[in-house]
Amino acid sequence: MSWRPTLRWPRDAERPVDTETATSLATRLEAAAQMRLGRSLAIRHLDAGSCGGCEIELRALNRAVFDLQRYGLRFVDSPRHADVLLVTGPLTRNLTEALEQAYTAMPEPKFVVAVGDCAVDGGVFKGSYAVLGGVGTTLPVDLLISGCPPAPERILAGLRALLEANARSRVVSSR
Amino acid sequence: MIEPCAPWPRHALPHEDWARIAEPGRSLLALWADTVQVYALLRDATGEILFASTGVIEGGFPALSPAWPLASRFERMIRDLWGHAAMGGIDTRPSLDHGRWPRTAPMALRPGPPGAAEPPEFLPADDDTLDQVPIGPVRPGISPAAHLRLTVRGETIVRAETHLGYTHKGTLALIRGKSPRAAARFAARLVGEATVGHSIAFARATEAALGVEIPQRAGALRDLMAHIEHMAARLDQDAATEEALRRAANTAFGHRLMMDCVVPGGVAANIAPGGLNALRRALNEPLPELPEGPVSVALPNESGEGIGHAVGPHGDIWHWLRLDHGQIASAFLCDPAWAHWSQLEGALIASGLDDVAETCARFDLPTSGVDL
Repeated sequence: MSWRPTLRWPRDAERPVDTETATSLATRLEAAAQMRLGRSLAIRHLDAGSCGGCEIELRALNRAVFDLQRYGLRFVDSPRHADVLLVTGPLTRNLTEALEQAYTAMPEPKFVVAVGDCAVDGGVFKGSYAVLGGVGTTLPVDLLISGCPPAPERILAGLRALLEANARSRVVSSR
Repeated sequence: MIEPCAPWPRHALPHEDWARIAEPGRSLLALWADTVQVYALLRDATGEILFASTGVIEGGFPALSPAWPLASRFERMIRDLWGHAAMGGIDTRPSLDHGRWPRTAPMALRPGPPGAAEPPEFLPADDDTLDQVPIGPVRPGISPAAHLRLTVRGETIVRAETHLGYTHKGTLALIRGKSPRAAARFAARLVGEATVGHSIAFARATEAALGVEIPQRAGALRDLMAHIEHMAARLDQDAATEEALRRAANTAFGHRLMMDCVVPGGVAANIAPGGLNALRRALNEPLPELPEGPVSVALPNESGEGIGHAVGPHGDIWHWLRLDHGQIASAFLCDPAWAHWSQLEGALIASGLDDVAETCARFDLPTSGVDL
């Protein structure tokens, strides 16, 4: 059974890497990544007690007519892969822990976007024993998009503004 | 004893008769409570609707769940919101109350002190060959918050339990004490996908309680809105047509989902000029002309009890309310998802873990309607 090539990687791995090459490669990669990835945001949606109205408009955004992905915006399944936590609903007491856990799991830098009147300040459910009244009561919010529910165009405009701001801040920080 | 309630009179039963309402052939549509009574809405084998109630004695009422397992979820909700115990119930675990509210039994005459937040209790998996897989409350995709606890043997699901209550917003407590017109905003926000359906059921319950007839044009406009809501919900695969329909609804009624467009007494506003033609184009359907006339009537500040029914995109919606001099003394809004969540649990059994996302997507269940 000699057709199998000899595996050499353990010994190669022990050999020291040329530090100069590695540093210069890392710098170039960082600049390129910031140029390319700076114009893209991964979004994790979190239902904090929504009635489902905002989700109708979010689903519309994700589909053919608005096609969120062409702007570099995409929904992801895990908060660990997300740059943006997009929250709908008045933040019920029963979901506060889940919201905090999702936020903690996200890597830095991270943004919180409140979509809909409920997420902004509790909306019509403000004052109920079961809701805290808005995402801002628990997390620092970067962007508020009001409406009951906000139209897809409005959500899209907000997210694109966030995208631009993020891209600009990355270019500035890389200089 | 028969109490007045429109259009179905309420049979106020003693406990021993109440325990016998769970006859074979009948099915339970909704079960709820207020501070002193428990109510059940049933459908007979003949399709006839029956409405019954029984008093709460020493904090309890006879459970219906031994005969109707579906009643169990309702009984747990009654316990959590009003503190009435279903005596002999098959499941006494809390459902809506996760121990995080500032008080227990928040709808009771005298709510209790705050509870302690404890992890939900699931049926045990004692067997060594069984594992439990938790999913949620934050689930993949754009999904409502709910927790699934799957007991699996290898890759096969042997038991599925749903734990709900995460999106509980205290809707019933917010409705209490308001005028029907003010409370309609909460009915419209119980389930976003069925906002028109719930608004119509709520309006019909109010109109039944007050004995009010709405104008013909208002009825036709409601039917039109309900039709658009059904069509939009069925256009899942066709984003372009759904978007066209939502825009036409915005042109015609001023809101893409037609939220708050149906109000007790009629509809909130007349259809915009050209609205009907915009809807015809979007639906590609020859919609009939609407009857002329007013679109709403004033509601008297009177007392009464009524039930309203409407068919939403997910099925039958039942609303009940009791008015006291124009204010809502008590109300219950029943979404079809009450039955569907139990059906989902059944549908997941014997399937593989890979099928869970697909099955959940096919059911597409809202949680807000059952979390209240």
